[in-house]
Amino acid sequence: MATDPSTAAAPLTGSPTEPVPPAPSGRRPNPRLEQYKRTWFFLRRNTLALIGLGIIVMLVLIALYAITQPIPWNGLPECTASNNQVVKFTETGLPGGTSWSITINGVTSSTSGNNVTFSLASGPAYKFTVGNVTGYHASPASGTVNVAGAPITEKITFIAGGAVSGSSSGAASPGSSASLPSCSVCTYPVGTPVPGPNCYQTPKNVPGVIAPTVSLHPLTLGALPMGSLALQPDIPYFYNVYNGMLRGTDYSLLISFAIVIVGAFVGLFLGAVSGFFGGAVDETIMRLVDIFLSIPQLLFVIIVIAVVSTTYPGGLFGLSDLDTRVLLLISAFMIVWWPYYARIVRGQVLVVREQKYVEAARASGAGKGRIVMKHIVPNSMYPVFIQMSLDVGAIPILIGTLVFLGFTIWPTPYFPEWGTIAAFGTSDVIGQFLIGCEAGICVIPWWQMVFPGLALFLFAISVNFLSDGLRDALDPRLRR
Amino acid sequence: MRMWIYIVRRMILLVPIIIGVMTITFVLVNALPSYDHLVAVYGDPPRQRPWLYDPTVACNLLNSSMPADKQCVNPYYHNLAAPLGIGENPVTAWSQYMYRSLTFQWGTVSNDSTAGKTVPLIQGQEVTTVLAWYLPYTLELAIFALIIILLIAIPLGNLSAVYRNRPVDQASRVMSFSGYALPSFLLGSLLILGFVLLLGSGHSYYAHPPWCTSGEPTYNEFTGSWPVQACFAGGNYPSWLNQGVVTSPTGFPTVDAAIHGQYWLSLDTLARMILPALVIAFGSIAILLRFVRNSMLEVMNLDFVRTARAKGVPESVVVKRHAGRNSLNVTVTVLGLTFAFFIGGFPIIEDVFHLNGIGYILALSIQQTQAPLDFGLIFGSTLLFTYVVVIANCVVDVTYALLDPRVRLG
Repeated sequence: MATDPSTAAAPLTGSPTEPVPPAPSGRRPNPRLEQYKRTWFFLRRNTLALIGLGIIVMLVLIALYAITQPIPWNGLPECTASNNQVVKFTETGLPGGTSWSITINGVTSSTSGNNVTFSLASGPAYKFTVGNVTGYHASPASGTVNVAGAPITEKITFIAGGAVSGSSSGAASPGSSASLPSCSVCTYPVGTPVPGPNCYQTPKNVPGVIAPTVSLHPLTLGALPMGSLALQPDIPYFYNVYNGMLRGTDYSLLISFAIVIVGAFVGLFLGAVSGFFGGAVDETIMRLVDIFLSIPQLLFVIIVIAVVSTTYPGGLFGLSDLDTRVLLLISAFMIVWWPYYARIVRGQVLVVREQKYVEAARASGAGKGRIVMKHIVPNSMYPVFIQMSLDVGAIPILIGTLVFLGFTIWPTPYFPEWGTIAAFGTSDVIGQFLIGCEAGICVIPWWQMVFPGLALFLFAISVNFLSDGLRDALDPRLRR
Repeated sequence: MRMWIYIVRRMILLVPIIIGVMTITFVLVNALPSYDHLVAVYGDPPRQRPWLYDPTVACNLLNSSMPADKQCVNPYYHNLAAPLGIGENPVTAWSQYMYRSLTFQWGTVSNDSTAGKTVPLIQGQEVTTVLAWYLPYTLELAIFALIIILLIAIPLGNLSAVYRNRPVDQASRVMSFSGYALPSFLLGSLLILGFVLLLGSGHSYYAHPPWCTSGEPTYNEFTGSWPVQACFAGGNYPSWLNQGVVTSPTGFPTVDAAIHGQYWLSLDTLARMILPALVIAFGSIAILLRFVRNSMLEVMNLDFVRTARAKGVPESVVVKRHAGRNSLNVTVTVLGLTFAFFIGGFPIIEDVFHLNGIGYILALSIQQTQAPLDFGLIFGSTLLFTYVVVIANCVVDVTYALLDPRVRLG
């Protein structure tokens, strides 16, 4: 404050120097800290809000652990692509629907289609034999495949009227000493028992559908705690839902929190400026808010990702394709999300700026920036917290919605993200169900839908509980 | 008189919003890759994404700055209203784009997109024509869902405010939470599964609806909006039912069926809307219920309610007349705010239940695993959804002004 020289020159008249009260021995209580303490006091009495908070903390811890885990996209988590190779046998010459079989490494697989596919560990040479087909002669009837480096396609030609071939003892000729790789999740010919540890058989017509191995009484996880997710209907590869969910915690939480926090910051800033300054600034920002609120959210996200990923398939700013898409997803959602916060904050600021303490700050000469940053923004925050905690649970669901609609968000289809897994699982359940039961085997892969759906539900409902508790704790009008 | 001034002022406010939204879509349209850029990225001839370069695709864009054999080979452009050509003045292109957007010239549907391949009838059609074919069904569904929302949310919200922290309140709160936390595609699929498991896919209703004399029940018939052709006696397929593309007097399926004297079909169309409308309503009820409850709680603590109680007005009248009427303002506002969320749910529901609405055609147009995206349909439906949201917000504001004199007088 500027001092008037005339009053400064006249000391000891009037009462310019009142004795300053001695500073209290303890620190002066910080009013904002007191507010947080009060909030915690009310939140602590709300059981549901506490449960929600606990679940969120637990999920964050899981996410921190999951960063260390391998990313299970594109097939098998343990039997890596470098370890296994696809060996494909195609036949020609048989009439459609005739059953034929291939035996390799002691494992027989039969089909009535044109192809038999095996997945074998790289390295050794495997012997194979072709099973008998009445009235046909196979060429070659047996042979060797060298599994190394690249997928192999072997052609088998059946000639009608030939001698019975492929000696009946063919299945009993293990040949090499190689065995199937002993990994916790393994691939195997469709519909055959697999001799190997931790390998699971899938039903004949629904390859890659394995029920969860988790057991509750003696608590063991097993190899596939949450079952499998079939990658494609015709190849026997599948996806470990548990690994996907674990790693998905990471991506889901990162993306949701990033969107909400960035969006809230932008909205908070613009809303505060708009509400405080009013006039033309307010009009401009509020028209911008109206414009962005009118754009359909999901469509905008779709357009942004589609346009940028088509234009720059290699990624932007030297980032990888995946990182670019995550960045795009976050920024696209953020662009359509900030208007909600801006509107909420503006409404709150309009109330707060008329309060006595803001007037007092202005009277004591505080600048506009200081009033906004130190007085108005901190006191307009609480509806933002409530809205943030509500919104954060909706984002994995929205991503799942996009994936379910068939839009390609991720570079790989089975990206480990909760919404994505839930969407694929759900469409797969409906697909499996509609295909129906064939040959007496009837499997509805409920786990593909239930576990990821449960994760989405738990996350969203716990943030809802927390938001409800926060609302009760922070808004004194509702506490009466 | 005041009301009219308010309405006119509100209409004028629409102009900057519509201009702004279309400018954003204009920027996005022009952010689409140019031919030169695609060649730089994918190489020439492009092998990774051959559909980008299908030379058989007709093209609206005449760009003289390119050699003749390279002109118009990017199908992303041919079905868009007016992308900015190379060397063109952006302001001219923008004004052309605005003109075409406002006059509903939104481009055509691509021949080789998933949408075009799945529904061959719409190939090469104007986007606005196609959207107009599919709009009535979605509108019917929306009205149905809106009625369900209002019928459930307002009474339940009032109840849970009156009986605060009682079982009714807790139950409605749990319902509201679950509506928010359950993905609609999961809920829809669960309902389909549940009903099929409960009734069996060959249940007599689905096998032979009352007007249906023969024909195998199919999945589409169970959840779809229209019965299969075989269901009509002797293959007597009404001309206005044409593979989901309705050419009919009004376009609204229930009304059309009634006009054609097929009252059972009319009822059946409504019956098949129940599940999808419930799923759509479930999510929106959650939000609305919560706001109605909170606004009721606030209003019931106000002085005039206390005065009414002190005068000896019966509690039911206090709740209905004094508090209920005043909390209605909030209901209208929230409906307006959640409207974008509400119609954003249609693509997924129509996809899950295989309903022939705009959402379904939009869901088809964004599938790109087998075929390219249909940018014409995507941008077209963005414009349509935006118009709908903007107009709905306008209607909501006017309704709000009707309900609350302070708005139009202040």
